[in-house]
Amino acid sequence: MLNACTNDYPDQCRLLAGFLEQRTNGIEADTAVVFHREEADREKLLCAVPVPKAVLIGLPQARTETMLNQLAELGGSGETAVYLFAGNCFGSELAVRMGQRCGGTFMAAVDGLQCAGEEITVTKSVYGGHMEAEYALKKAPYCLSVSRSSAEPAKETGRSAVAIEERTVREGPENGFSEDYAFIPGKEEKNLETAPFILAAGWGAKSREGVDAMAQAAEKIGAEFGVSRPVAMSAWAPMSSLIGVSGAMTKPEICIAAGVSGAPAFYAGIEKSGFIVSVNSDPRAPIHRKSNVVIVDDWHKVLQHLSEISEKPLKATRKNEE
Amino acid sequence: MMKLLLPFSITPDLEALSEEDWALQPDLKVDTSFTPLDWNSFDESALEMSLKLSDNGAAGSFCFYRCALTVGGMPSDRFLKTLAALKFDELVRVDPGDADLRFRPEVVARLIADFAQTQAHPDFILMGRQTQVGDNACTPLLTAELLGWPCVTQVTALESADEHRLRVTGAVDGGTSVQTVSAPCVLSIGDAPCTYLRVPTLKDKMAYGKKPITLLKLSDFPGAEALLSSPNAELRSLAPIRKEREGVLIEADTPEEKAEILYRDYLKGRLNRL
Repeated sequence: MLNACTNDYPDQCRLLAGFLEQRTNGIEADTAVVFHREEADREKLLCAVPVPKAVLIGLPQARTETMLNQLAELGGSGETAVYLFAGNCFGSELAVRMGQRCGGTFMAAVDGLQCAGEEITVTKSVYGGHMEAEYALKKAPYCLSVSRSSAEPAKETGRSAVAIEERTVREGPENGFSEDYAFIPGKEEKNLETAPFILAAGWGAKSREGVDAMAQAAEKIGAEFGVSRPVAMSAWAPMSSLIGVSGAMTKPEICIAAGVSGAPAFYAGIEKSGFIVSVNSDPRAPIHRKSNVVIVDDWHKVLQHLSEISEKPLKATRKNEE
Repeated sequence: MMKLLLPFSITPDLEALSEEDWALQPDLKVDTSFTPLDWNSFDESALEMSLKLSDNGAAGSFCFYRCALTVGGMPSDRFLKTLAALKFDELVRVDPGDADLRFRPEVVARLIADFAQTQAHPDFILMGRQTQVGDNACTPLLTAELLGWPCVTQVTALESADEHRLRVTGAVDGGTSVQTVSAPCVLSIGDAPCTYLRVPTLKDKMAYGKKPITLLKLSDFPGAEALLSSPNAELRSLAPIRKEREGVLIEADTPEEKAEILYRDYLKGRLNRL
């Protein structure tokens, strides 16, 4: 189930392709349902689809209540099917609501999917990422959203799908509860998800001034700057800097986690790092056990000296090369 | 007057558990009884956002009736008393008894929907998008479906539009949505900055903190209780997730020396290869 009304459509396709390849067993993916704006280029849409067939549904606006009515029709066909959604805002909401509306089974942020004979089981993280749960799903249709950290997104989705059905949907009374709906595109996101070197600040920064000091240190050493949820929730840094399950899922070569405790919801956002350095004055901070190298000390002094002794920052070097 | 229903949950501080505390009991439970309790952070945002509706200038003159509902044992009463001191109008606790609701969002949603339909009759339901223990991220969505109401998800800001409608800002893929929403509607609260719950004054604690709490049982909600025996998703197993790395400790006398070792032995070569 794909939403091409948003600019993360290629990411959804790559995530689901990666999930199907790496995290499923006994599942054969057959058809994609692609919601798109009426004016979208059909050929481009079909190129990204990671399965052989596609149903294209054109919409005047990307409104979830309208999409949900369409999904309820599909899921109400009585067919025993698994409906997979990417774990973005669209997928996390609609998988659950479709499952409930169709009288089936729903699950958000699934990490793995197995089908053996008649039995379908899924795994997902619970207890704030401390535990993995396995569930047996009992009632079709099975509507699942895929955790953004579950699989390595596929580099290529690999095929071009054939459109087996196309339809256009007019907005109905389902959005009557809402007036003046306006979509405001996000400002250009920082490149956290593609950055090779990241400095991540946690609650140990203690204040907006502390976060600013870390951001300056990041600039000096040539790292992109990100923060944990408590820092963003305190508005010490913009939400676009957030790393973790609610924010960016990064995979840098090097990540320095400073003043970070190491809660799983944050760690999920840096766990694909090649090399992790933790700097925290608390020797019992869980982040230390999840890091390659550990410094137990005052992050401020460590980062200040590090920024003084570092040679030309990476970003400066790159700009010069360009 | 706009009626708001605020279902919320209280959660153990999971970060306070040590590695060995994650041992499973035979009934697939983790003993968290000794850990401090706290607001579920998304629900805390919902509670604070409901209070902020009364703070905003001229719009703050609109009247709100706030009913807080939680499903939990006696320790939750302490949190309900805090809400009483913050002048919430109605406080309700549903005691689940022995029922294990950690991974049963459909039961909790049915309970909330039944409470809304039969007792609270709210215009809007505000609740956090997910809880920490179950990580289900389903309850507000299911509540909306059960009631046949629309749902706005990932809500990050609220304002009064007029006496009956709210101006709702939410995160959507690729940006933000802003809309004026009429009742009834479920609002699922996401990452809303600056929404830590305010602290009641001592004076308000004395004046309002002893407001009675309505105590109900799960058996008062037969529709929810009936769902307990037949889950659509049955929990089979739980296992701790371990994600450990080498954790090589850099030892030196000063932070400056540690920074030098870090740069010389671990970072310089890697940075050059980027």
